[in-house]
Amino acid sequence: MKLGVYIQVPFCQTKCTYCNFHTGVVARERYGPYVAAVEREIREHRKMYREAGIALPETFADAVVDTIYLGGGTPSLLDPEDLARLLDGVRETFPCALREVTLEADPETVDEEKARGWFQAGIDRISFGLQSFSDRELSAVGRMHRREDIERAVPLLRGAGIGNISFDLIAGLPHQTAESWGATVGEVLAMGPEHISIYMLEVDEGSRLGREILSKGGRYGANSVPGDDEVANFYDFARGALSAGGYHHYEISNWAIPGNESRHNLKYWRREGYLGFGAGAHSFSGTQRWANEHDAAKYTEALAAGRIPCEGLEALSAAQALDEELFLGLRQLDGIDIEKIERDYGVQLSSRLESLERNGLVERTGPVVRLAPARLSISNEVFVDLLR
Amino acid sequence: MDPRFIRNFCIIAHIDHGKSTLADRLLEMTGALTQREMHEQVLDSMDLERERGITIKAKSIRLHYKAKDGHTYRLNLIDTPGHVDFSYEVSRALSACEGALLVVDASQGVEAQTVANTFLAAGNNLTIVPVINKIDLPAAQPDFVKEQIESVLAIPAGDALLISAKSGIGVEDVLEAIVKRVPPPKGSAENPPQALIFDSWFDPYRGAVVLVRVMEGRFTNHMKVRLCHSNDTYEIEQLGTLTPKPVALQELEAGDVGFIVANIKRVADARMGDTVTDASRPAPPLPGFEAIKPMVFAGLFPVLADDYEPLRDALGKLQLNDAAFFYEPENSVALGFGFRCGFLGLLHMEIVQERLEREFGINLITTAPSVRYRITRVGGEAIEVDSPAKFPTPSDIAKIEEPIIKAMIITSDDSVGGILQLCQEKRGVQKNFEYLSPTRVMLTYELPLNEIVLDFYDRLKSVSRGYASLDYQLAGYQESDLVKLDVLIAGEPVDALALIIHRDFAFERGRELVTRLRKLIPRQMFDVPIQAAIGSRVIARETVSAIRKNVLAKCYGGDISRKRKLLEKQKEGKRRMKRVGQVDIPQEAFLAVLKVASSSDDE
Repeated sequence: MKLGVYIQVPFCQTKCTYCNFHTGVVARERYGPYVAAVEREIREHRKMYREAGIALPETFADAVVDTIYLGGGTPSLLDPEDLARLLDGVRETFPCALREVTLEADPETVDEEKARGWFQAGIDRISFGLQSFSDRELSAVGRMHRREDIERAVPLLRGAGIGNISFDLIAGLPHQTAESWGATVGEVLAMGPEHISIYMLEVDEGSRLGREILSKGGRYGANSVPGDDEVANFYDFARGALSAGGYHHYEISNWAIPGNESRHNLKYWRREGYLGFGAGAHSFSGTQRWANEHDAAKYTEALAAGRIPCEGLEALSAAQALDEELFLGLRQLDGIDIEKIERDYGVQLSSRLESLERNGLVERTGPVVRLAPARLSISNEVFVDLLR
Repeated sequence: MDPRFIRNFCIIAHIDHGKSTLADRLLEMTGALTQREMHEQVLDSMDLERERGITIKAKSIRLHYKAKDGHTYRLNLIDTPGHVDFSYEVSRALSACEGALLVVDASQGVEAQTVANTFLAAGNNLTIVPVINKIDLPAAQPDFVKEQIESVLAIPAGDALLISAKSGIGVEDVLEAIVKRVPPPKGSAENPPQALIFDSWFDPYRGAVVLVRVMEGRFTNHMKVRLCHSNDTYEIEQLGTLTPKPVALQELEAGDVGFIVANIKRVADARMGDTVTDASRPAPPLPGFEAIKPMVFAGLFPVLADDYEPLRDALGKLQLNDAAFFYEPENSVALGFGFRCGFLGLLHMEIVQERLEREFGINLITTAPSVRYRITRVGGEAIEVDSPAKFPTPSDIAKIEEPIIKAMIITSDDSVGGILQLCQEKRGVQKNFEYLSPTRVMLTYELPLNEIVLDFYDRLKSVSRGYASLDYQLAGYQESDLVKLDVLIAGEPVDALALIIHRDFAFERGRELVTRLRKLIPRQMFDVPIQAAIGSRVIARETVSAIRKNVLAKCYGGDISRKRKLLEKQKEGKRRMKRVGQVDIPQEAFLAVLKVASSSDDE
């Protein structure tokens, strides 16, 4: 069995206004103890899992780690030696046959020495939280980098030997217009990263910008956020442009030059196992989901005492597992084998799919059901409809 | 007791003019309740009555008063409901009395209910004793109010009592006036028995407890009695009086007031205004009986289908105690299973709704209130229709008649303009315009009831900043050019949104309604047309365009649980809506109809 390892580094230089994730800005002195805690968790996870009541299935006994994902936060803030320590921890704890080791990075944190250090540590893929090529949009949401940082960072990475680069973009930032979005997409294509992710801005109570939009306020550029229809247009425009640029649209939010699809992220959609280490990291064993305490200080404290602070250990019911098969599986544009799912779960889904098909939201070819590309931006409507 | 020492009286007043406070004070001063037992406003016992300061169910209380003439009198205080919805109940309670205390607030003066209730009392030949209350308020103008009572109500007010029920000023004089001015009851204990039913309530152990005023003869325990109008025979199990605690008696004689328990199963069997007589020597019924007819109708639907059974049980329980309330099952395409309910008026409807939600914990969707129309079909057949859903198709209708009310509105002169405009807009015909004082005006209008039931009262209050008072009575039927306005969502007529309105308003209200609905119906997977139509003719149309964006954002570090919760939350949101055809409609959309008639509150 192949296994993914996720390592969470919940530190940032500043908190972006749209961020609804558990990250924080802390003094650099806190990085060291945190890294030590994560390393300990990686090395001693089997014992600590047992004590926390997490039972790994037998298939995990001979699991081979083939992907590692260092996410955040901004893990590129850590010294390359610290990152290497964590990766060594994985290599020395699990059988490994690594095919993809990703580091999330902010462009302004890259320099030549770091890039070399990352490569030497075994990192072969960088995921840039680029968000936009417009400096106005970047500064409005509190990003630290500017367009020139991106242009500087990419050649440094390639020069250091890192050949797989991914760009994250956000559609729906304050001040974004069809024109600025077109320019961003054009620049991305011109730089030719191996992989591109596009997310639509999530408006909820979890972020400062989201709260401001919901309360109809004007801070953080909240009243300059493009409307839903416009954002959907941005997404559809990008779909066309990226596909014309030779990118394979393989997941709702993800495109790749064929062969560069993210092996690690696909595990999420395919419900393959992954173990998450670090504060707030999520794990999935195939039957159970759990997460670590998200507060970095509390996490570090617990690990220092030799304990995993696990929150929300949840054994999935058959109904929940089926829900996941559908709403995760369908995110992949290749679709899902609905007959196999019906057999595996002993359910009938055809009648529920028929009205979605009639309304043009899904397409069916034999046993394969996939989301209609033109309606991807309302995929939740399909998922919600299929939910038990 | 010799009828010479009995006085039967009631208190009539506009809301908040102090009726309940005066009643409390009378109870306290006659020792019916000790200070310790004194629970403020004893007569208004239902929570809702207290909160709203109104009396819904009448009660009667026997008091004993030792007058200055040395005799002890039995005073039966008969409470009356104060609201227009219950005018028949008021009139029955009034006919159980010989006199009425007319309480008027010294600072407010005569209001609409004062006028309406005074006319009712005068119509029942009651001796009216004017009482001007709250004379200790700084704004009190007792002389002016006296003048108003004389000029508006044509009642001599020179000897009006000046009191403050709250502080007890002049209450003793009230008791003396009852003894001196209210005539003793007529009738003889030796005549064939006749008693007027003027109230009843349901007791879970004894069935209907019936309040009666004995007009003639004598009722005793175990006597076999007959109810004239329902023609049922019962045996009296218990007789008594309320002091206000129930006290059992051996007999009730002509002139007296008390309760009868006779194994009557439902209050609906002992109808208000019916006459109780001796089954073995029946006397003729007393005059004035009318079968209570609901005037306002609405569909009540549980928000959750699971609440249907509890709702049915709750309606049954309410009806046990409220014979004026009527219900039958109704099935709506949009709202599922519920009940068509009939009410005496809007307040009655609100009370029932609120009790269902408060006492029984049921969440309701109430459809737009309707009235009972008389429709003559093309073939000549006449039908009565109280729900838009039962309206025939336009081509099948020869004639529609609608109920008309005579409304009396008393207001300050600075809001008259707005009220005239409102009445005009509501198809009103002015019948009278009279200055009660240099700053108070009394307007009399004939208005279609269907215009009143939607939002007239709220708008009257808002136009007059709360100062206008309203009272009305049914004044027959009148032919009108009415149409049924249908609402179609995604091509399907939604029965719960249909409305009966005058043709002249159909276009404008149809447009308002679809505009409002467009704002209330969330975007769906496809375009949703919303149309207003009369018959097959579409008069307004809006479209809720298909949703474009509903997608999950970045999945941070494989946090699938968060995504699932987000989807589950959306699913829950959809579950709370009603699905009509393929369209999910939120509850607020069904309330839009209630508001559409008011053009003044548009956003």
